[in-house]
Amino acid sequence: MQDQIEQLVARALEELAGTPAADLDDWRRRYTGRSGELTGILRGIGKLSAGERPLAGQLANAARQRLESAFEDRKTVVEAESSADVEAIDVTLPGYRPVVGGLHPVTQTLRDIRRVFANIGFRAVDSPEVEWDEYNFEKLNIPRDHPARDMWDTFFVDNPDRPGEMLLRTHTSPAQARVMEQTDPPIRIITPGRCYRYEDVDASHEATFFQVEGLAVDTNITMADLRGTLEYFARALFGEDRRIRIRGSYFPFTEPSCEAEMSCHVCGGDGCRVCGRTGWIEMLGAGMVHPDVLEGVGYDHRKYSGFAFGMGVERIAMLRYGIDDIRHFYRNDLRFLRQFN
Amino acid sequence: MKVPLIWLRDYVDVQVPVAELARRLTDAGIEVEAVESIGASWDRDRVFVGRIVSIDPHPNADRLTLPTVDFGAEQRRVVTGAPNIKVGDRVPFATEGATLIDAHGDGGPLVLKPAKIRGVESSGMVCSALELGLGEDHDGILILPEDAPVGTPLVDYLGGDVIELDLKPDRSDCLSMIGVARVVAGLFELPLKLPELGSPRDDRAVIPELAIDIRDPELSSRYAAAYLHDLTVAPSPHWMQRRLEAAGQRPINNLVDITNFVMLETGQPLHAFDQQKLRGGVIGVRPAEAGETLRTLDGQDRKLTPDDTIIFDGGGAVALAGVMGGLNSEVTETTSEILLEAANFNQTRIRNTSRGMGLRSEASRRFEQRLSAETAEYALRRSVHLAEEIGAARGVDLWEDAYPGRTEPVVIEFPLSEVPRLLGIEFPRERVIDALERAYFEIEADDGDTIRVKAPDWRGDVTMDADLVEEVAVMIGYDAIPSTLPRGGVVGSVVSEVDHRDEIVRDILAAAGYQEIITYTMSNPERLRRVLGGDGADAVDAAGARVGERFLPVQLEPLKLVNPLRAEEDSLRTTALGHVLETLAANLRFADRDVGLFELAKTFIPAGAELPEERRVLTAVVGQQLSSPGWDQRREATFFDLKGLAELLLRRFGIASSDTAPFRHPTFQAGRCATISAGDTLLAAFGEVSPATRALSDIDEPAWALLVDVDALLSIADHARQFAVLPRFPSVVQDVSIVVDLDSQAADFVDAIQSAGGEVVESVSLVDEYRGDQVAAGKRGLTFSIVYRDALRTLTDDEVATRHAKIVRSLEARFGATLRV
Ligand SMILES: [Zn+2]
Repeated sequence: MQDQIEQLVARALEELAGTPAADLDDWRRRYTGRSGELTGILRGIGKLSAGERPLAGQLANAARQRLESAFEDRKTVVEAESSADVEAIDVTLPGYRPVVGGLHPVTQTLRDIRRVFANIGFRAVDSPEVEWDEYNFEKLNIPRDHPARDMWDTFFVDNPDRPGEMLLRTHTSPAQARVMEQTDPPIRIITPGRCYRYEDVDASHEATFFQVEGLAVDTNITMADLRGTLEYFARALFGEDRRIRIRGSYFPFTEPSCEAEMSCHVCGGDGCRVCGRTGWIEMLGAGMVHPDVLEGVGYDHRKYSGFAFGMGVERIAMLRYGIDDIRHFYRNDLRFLRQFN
Repeated sequence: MKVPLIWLRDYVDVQVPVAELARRLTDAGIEVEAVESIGASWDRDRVFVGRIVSIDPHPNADRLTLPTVDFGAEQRRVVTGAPNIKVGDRVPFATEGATLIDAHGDGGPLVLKPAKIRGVESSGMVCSALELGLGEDHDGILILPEDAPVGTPLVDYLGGDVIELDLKPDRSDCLSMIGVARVVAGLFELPLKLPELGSPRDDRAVIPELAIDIRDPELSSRYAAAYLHDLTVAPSPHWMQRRLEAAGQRPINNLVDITNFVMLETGQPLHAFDQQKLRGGVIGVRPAEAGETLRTLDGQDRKLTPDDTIIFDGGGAVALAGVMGGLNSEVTETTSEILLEAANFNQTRIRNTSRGMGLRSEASRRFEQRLSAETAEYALRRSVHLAEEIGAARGVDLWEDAYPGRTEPVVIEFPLSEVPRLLGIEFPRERVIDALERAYFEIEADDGDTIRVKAPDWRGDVTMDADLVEEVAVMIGYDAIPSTLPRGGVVGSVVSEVDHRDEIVRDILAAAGYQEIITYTMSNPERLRRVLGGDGADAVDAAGARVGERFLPVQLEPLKLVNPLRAEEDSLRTTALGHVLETLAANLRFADRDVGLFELAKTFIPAGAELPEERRVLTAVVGQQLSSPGWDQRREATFFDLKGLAELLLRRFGIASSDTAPFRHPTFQAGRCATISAGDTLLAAFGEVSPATRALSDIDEPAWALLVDVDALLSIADHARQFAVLPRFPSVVQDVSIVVDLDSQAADFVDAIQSAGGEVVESVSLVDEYRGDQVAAGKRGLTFSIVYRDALRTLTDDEVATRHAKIVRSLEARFGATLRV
């Protein structure tokens, strides 16, 4: 009898699932109504032995409750369907777009740079954009009349009290001296900010641009640490399989000096238009902090060593987004800016 | 600096592919900027040195001729329009199939095909410099030297790779072929071959007397002179011309070419004086006297100062030292004896003079950089030797030599432990020593841990052990250095409060629909004052004056640049509003709605002789048309959009109580602008931009602006948040609509409702303002929604009604408000 009831319930529920509103009452009549099948089975209980009867009764009642409850659920669903006599939506119509703004691609890139360096303990500090010659050049081992000054075409700021001394920083490197003067090693900082060069603007040069300076000074900092740090950075921003190579260069405030190149993130190193078919992309200038710079801020250069690097933020953004002209950044055309939201 | 490989290979037999040479040099810090391949497209089997055998007239055209050209294998007759050839000339000759440059078309490649020109078959072509890619000259055929070997592939005679170096100021030793050759020899472990000088074969019995008078060794550490006579002016030999031309120097004649050749070869600039024009048997170096003048070789009269250095003879100035010769001692066709100068001058003084006068040359460029005084003697000997070798002159190579500034070689005590300490890798000591020796450093002593190293005279950039570490890295290769991360570190926060605040501010503005922009920090005073919309000084009240001082200090004289690129960018901005409005105007030209922009950037407030205050201000603007939900639904921006934005910021920084008050300032439309302050601290100003200000920024629709002092925001920010128990009993909401005076302030009613209602008033919010016919003139209707709730029980209807009535009475009594029905 148990099997008989279970089979009946299964059959009834299966049938119920496809029953339309008009046929629901008929279903009820056929299964749980006075002359329905379940009722018929209940009637048969009387023929069972007294020992079997209580269990069969329980089973039959449970089955009735399940069927009644399923009937009510089905009725609710079917009624809701039939009462909402809706017209179908053309789901391909566009959504209502909330008006949202966005961050400038340079800000986005700066945030990413900050985040990556924060992960390895570099603190971001601010430093003045209007600087003294002393910090921009002299404390960086670039005395007046040094031929290396030609490497930085400089905007000077009129200051009758100190003529020729106030300028717009040409790089974020003055922050090196400012931070070291105020702090004892160990040092791990980056200084993002705006820099200025007195030069004509073209597709790859801006007179106003952002740079991020990095500086680490301690008793055991090496060029290998520099390479590793840059590799960490390149991988975080441009993909896990980036490699760094370094080659010789010259900056008055580092010795040894180097340029770092990153394996091309577009072609992976095979050579393409982006990397000028070399497989490598120039990333930044760097080096070990020059002994004269360390001594100039009162550090013992035999005890401490450090590395420094400086990278152009627009350049990083151009590489990431495939932007071909640096002048886009400060034209602030919404059709450009909104591409990065 | 252009280095032709045929010239470089005179001194070092480097045979690697040019790409590899370029890479190795670049890796060593001698950056190869470009590799130029002269004649890369000249097919060895199709472009030759030819000789004009005969020239026949063209039967059908007066302007054309029919030269027959011998190019070794055979002779061919071609058609040409070139006017400059004659029988016997050596010329470049191309046969069919050769790739040339299309001189008459777009300058692209052109493959030569047989052609009939005005009825005559032409089976080849005599070529101009332009057609060969050798320059712009297309006036005639390129005439080659008389000794050009007929039948030789032209690429062997004129072609070759040239590398162009972008030298950093430390490597002035590489401003010469020999200097580059030394580096190449060291990198590739090849021997260096310097030119043999022999001894001059001068048999002249009497040479003139010469005294050299260096007034101050600070001006000139060395002044040496050679004496040349028996001059035979002629074109230089092909090998010299070819090298000069490939290096970017136009050959002139053998005497001029020798000075240029030796300068490029050794790095030592040379200057030739007409010896017979020099007076008094003396030549010397001194500062110019104030007011002294000299007519230089370019015919200009130069007014000199004591900061300029001159060469003088018995009669006065004869040259501007290191920069340009004087016309009074110029070498001309009639010159028969030459004093050839090889000197070393104070680099700073040369630099200042050449820059001051705008006279920069290959010579002054070298003098401006570090130049070894040792080179002077070698350069003179080489010059005289060359002059004799090519038959240009005979001479005395070291006629006189004054060397008061001789210095001792630089010797450095070099602890070898510095290499691993700075590079992070330990090399075997033999490798370190080998690297230094390949760079021509001498190991004078070696006690195991420390070596004593003598730097070569041309490496004035090397003065300390860190420099030697770099030499080791360069010679062994930077790529040997491994990658590690710094050990240890710094404990403490890596994100500053200021950066954190800026992130929050930017995120809020972006979420509210505003796009961040970054504009230039340069402006000019007139441009800055445009935000005032003209001269509106009388329209300022006390609150407006504070707004002006904090956010729009455009009456202050801004910091001026000494050397601006453009007049409209000659100062540092004191406010960003002008630039932001200009950007709004530019974007409104194509975007018809939702142009909300903001910039969070520094402005520069002058501080007298000190560095300026770099003040961070948030500047946000929005145009009139805004989208509302729906397709193509829009609404107009209002004062309340900006106020809501400001309130959102304040709330985010936990500033609970603030006052909003009107002000008058010409940048804003009076009656539609307000400040937000907390106590005495001015936080923000916002409102509709005045029509005059808009007009000066070329914005022809209403616009709104918000200025926020983010530093003040940070100084009073309260990031603490306090949990409040969620209500357990229901609230009752009742509205009250009142008619009040037009010049009343809504905030006063809110306060009054709160105080009259007491604790059961949970909140009061304005839900409507009505102005119009349904209220009396001078009045407006306000509707407030009041939420009543008791934290401990459910309020009854009676209790709410009683409280509500009390509030209404209070509004009537305090403000003369009447209920609106
Ligand atoms: Zn690539």
